[in-house]
Amino acid sequence: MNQTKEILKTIGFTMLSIGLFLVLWTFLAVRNPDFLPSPLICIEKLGQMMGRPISRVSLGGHILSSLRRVLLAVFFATLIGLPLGLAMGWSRKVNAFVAPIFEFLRPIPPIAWIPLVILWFGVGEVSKVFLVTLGAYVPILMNTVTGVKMVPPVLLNVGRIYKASNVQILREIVLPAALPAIFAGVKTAVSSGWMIVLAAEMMASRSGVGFLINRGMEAYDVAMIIVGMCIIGVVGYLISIVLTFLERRLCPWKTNLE
Amino acid sequence: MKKHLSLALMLIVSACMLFAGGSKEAAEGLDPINVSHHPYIHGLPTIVAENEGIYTANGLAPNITMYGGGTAQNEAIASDAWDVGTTGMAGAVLGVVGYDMKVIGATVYDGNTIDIWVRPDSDIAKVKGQVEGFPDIYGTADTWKGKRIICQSASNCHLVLLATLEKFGLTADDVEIVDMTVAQSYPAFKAGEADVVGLWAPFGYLAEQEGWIKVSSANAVDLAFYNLIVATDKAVKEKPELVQRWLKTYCEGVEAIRANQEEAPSWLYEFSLDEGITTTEEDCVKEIALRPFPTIEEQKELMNSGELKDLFLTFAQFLVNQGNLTQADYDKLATGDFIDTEFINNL
Repeated sequence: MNQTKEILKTIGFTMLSIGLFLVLWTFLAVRNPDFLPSPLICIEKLGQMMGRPISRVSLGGHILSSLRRVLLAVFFATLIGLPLGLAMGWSRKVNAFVAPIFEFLRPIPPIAWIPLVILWFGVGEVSKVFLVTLGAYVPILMNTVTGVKMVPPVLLNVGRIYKASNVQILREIVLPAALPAIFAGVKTAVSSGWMIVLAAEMMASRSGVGFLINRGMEAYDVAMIIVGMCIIGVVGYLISIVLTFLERRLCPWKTNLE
Repeated sequence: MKKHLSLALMLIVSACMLFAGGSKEAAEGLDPINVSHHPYIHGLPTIVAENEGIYTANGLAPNITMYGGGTAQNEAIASDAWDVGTTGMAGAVLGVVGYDMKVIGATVYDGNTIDIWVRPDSDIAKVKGQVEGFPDIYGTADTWKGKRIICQSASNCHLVLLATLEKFGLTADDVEIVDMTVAQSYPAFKAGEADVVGLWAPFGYLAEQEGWIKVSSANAVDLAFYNLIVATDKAVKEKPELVQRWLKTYCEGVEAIRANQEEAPSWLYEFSLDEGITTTEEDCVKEIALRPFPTIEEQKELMNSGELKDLFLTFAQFLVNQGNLTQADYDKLATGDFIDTEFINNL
């Protein structure tokens, strides 16, 4: 009974928050409709965009294009970040060797790479995925290093007492113990990848949510820009839900601790 | 543990495979060609040609890409993304210099739609015709001096602005130029920024609706601008026959537009909406009327007489003055054979 009450309360607060946001948006839109179209106009625009492909790609196709780039980039970022992070967290020598370069590259925003990426890979898919990968590998690597370093020494000692090899300790103790941190890194990588993909799609793209926002800007179609922004928000939120679900499946002990 | 890791890996790989794009296959018996345009009026002949079956009739299967502007279009040459297409004057000059692009024809005339605007209460708008021989320019040297002007640098608008200032004996140093793309210039000026703004179509139509005053234009300062039909150096060298057939197809699209002036605005309207460009049917009527397509004969005249090259070099010199090109680039253009008249003369 109490649980139902709590759920209803949560839904109530969520609805109130969305309602207030829409009221504020409408209030501002009425005052200056040229610069901020009302929610209704944006919904109408969304309807148009759903009913008519833009540049021969449906709205769903644009969203999938962006999503594909982000997922591919996160896949490659995991391929790079996970083993490197494990090695850096496990071995001081590897850490001393890689950390200076990593710390030097880490603060450079992926967008700053755009001119070089265009020179190296042109303006096709490779450059876009590469750019997102540049932004996505950082949180995965950092979280993996932290996750490995934070493995409780008692667990490692147990492994050593049982004469487990380094590979066994890494595989059976360190990796599972660091998994929640690694997963948190992947979650952050997906979010930041989703942000970077928009910038990547502004360079000669034929599809994607970034392309839609850019097209809206070129044509002074503020409603299209806002619809694009809302799509980012909604898809980002859905991704977060999916990742939280995956995290619960992959790291059930973490959920239990929470 | 292993089960969980495998699940995660499988999910990621499956997602990637699910979203992996497939390549378009060219229709059987048709020669594929990569075509590049901008989502504006000079891309329309290709769309008309596609819709009217002209591409198929000429044995071509086009893979059409609409680029937001000349810069992105030029950058795409490096990855062989396109063979033929159309672009603006600035894009063409930079494409020829940077990528050995070839000009194989002329399309949409832009002289009627590159304009300089002020708000109705501007002192520039108070007087007109003060410069001898240029009756359509507003203002005086005093009213222009010190003005804050939003204008896309190294663009047609910029050239028109400098030509306007020159008529009053002024230079860019006498005003404050704020560099902004035309798409950003319109909302910035609308929001109250600056005293003067340089715009081209379709933003000029919005400016008209706002009641702003056109105080100068390409026509007013006797500048002519054409958009250009271009091909990559590689396409010209490796598949000239395809380039020839494509130019024929594009020009047949142009002829279809010229022959159907009543229907053409609705074609443009539909094309714009398909490309996500919000417009009105009224603006499309203006576009068709104000931005005419030259005929094949007019193109031949422009190209064979050297007029197009002169216009091109005028713009290139402007880019040299702005620091976007070097004198060596200009000299290369002046002595080069970037205008290839063979294709248009074969039509």
